[in-house]
Amino acid sequence: MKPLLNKLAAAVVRLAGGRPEVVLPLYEAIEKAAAGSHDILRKQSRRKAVISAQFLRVLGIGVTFIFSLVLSVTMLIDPGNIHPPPGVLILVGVHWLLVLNMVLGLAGPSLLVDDDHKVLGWWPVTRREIMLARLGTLLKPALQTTLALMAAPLVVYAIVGRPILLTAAVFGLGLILQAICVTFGAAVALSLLVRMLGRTKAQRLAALLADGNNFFYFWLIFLVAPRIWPWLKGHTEVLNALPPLWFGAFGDLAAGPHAWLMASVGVIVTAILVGTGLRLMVAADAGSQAVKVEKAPSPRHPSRLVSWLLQPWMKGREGWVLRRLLESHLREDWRFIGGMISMPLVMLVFFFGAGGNMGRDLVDADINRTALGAVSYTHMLILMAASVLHLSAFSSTPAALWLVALADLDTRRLLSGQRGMVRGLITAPMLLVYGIRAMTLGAPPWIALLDMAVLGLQVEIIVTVMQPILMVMPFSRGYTNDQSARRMLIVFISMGVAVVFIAMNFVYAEVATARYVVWVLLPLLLWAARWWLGRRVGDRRLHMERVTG
Amino acid sequence: MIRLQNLTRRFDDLLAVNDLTLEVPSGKIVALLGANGAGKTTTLNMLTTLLEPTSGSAEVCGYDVVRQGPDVRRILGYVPEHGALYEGLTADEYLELAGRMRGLEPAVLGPKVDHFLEFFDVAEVRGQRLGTFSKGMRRKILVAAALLHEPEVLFLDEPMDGLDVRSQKRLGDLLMEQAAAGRTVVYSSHILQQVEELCQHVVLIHEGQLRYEGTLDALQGDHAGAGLRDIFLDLTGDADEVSA
Repeated sequence: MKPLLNKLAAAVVRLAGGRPEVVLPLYEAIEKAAAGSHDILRKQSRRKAVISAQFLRVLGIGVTFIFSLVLSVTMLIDPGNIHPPPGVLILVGVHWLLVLNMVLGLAGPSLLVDDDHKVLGWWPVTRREIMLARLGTLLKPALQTTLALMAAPLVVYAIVGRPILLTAAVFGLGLILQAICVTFGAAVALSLLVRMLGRTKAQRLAALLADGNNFFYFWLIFLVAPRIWPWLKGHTEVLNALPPLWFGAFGDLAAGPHAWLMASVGVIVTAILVGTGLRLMVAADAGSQAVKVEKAPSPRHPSRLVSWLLQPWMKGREGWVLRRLLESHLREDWRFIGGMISMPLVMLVFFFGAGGNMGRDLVDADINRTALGAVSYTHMLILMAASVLHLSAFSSTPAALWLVALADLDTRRLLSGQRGMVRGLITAPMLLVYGIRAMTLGAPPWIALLDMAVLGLQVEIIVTVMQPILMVMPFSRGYTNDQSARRMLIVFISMGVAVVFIAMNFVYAEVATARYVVWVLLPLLLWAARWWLGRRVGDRRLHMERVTG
Repeated sequence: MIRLQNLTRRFDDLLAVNDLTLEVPSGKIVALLGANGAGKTTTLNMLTTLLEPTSGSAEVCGYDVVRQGPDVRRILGYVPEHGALYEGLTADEYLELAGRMRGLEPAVLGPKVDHFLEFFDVAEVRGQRLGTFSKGMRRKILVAAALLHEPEVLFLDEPMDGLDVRSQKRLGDLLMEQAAAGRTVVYSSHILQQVEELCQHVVLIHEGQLRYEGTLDALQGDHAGAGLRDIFLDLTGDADEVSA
């Protein structure tokens, strides 16, 4: 089987204008390098238990398969006069989002940073061949995801569709074409961005896709979709231009000429993307043209204002150091800015753009006791993830840690300043959004303030508990998938803790007497968390040997 | 032979390389000297096809670096100052990749990899990932990768940086062997003592412009036998600063 696959891969590479003897070893090397990076990270970990991007991928495929079983039910929905049928539409829509999200997360940062050029730029390898190897590393997981998602629904579709098997087989082909179209489309778009913007600006954009940020942009689509849908239904010309519909037509070819036309559009666009797109990606080495000329930051840069506003929470010598580091992050580190923007944006859209009150009927009695039930309990997850991600982005800057270690500053005060930074940049603004939302739903201001205090204390507790873990997190300036996987894991852990607080908030909202217990319990828990942190760090200096450049 | 004709490279407002015209002979170790920011690395990046010139042209062994980039890349070896590597690969895997990309057959490649790993005293760590290597060890692997295919022209940007004394000596001898075999070695460095020991020809650029091009002996003859350090300071206009 393997020799046959190798021959097939060689033929595809040759057809795409590359040399198999160059592209295939390069593809293998990129895959090996990714596995090797994980191995290095695992060995650096004290517990030797680091979640790998590979493991996350397998987990993702497993979850996708389970999800596909649920999706299979949609195939049983009577299509009526809707073309393509709802089951088909849902499947292609979900597939499109899953593959695009995966491709952007896996390759977006690498393509924008143009990693391979730095390693192979002077080797006798053409850009086309480098791109083909990179595309290979993307197509494989894209097709794996496709198979995991379509297997079960296609079996059901083969049973309910007519004629049996043929319909499902053609639809399956459509989904595979869609996977190729999305993968090439995303890769072409990202490569063109490097050419158009130059490498420095493209690198900054890469930060907006790193660390799982891309996941939250797709969440925005889900939040906004119900509002856009009624408008889309009235504008079929726009609807027909949506790529998933072209590939969905493969599952409904019996519907007549319109379906055939849409499917043809899908085939043509894919062919254009594969042919012309590849040529565009490799046409010129424009990515290397733009080299940034460093300029001194202006004294009136907004970063100075932000740092000045946070002064009350960042005092003393340690506060001064942290404020300078923060200014540097705000000017140069788009990864930091990406984390700062993405989740508060989701929260804003959730509250004000997409309803955001979980569909509960507002009862005056609820609002006069607490607005938590009305605004929603689950926003705690967003609040928590945003705060912890932000802490992680700030803590893990190697330059920052070296400076701190050399200056021999007080660790406790530094950690306190870090919490102040998270409080000022993320927690306070997001609590403000919450408070405004609560009042627009009818909650009295003092009730909104009390809720904000409860939530603020909960965030403070989790951030305090996460600090010793994040402060020694090994860091690489490269955008490795392992790095993203590790950050996502940290977010998941903190979200797990947040679930406990969500339960607490539910009780707080539903049981009147429980409020008094929460008011006493939270300050006590915060005191305990700070005591534990103080004991843990003591007068210890940071673990510099675990920070990689 | 390397030929530069009015080679110029501009980055926004900065003129990094300004109208550079010179010829580098074959079979010599040529020092490329200049202060920080003089334009040495930008020049090397253009000669190795990593960067396109804003204007002017350059040829390496008769191949134009813009129009015949793949041919230039085929015949050159390059050790960049900040060499990026696939950090997750082992030394063995990286060198095997470098050799295969250069079209070397496994039967030829294997012994060569063994030879260079032994030569640079890194055979014992050949199975370890490059991400765990020290700066000097990475440098050795980059030099080995640049030499595997016996390039006609070798560009080295601060090659001794991070190397221990024994490895510096070995690399120096190796470079002299390469030059003796008729290959051109372009050697950019700030360590002038090594330059004096190794190089026969000097190219000095200052603020993107050519200040001197010729043999080291002629240069020292013009400056009454002064050391390269004093000559360098004199030509880059910093002599008074230092003596003061």
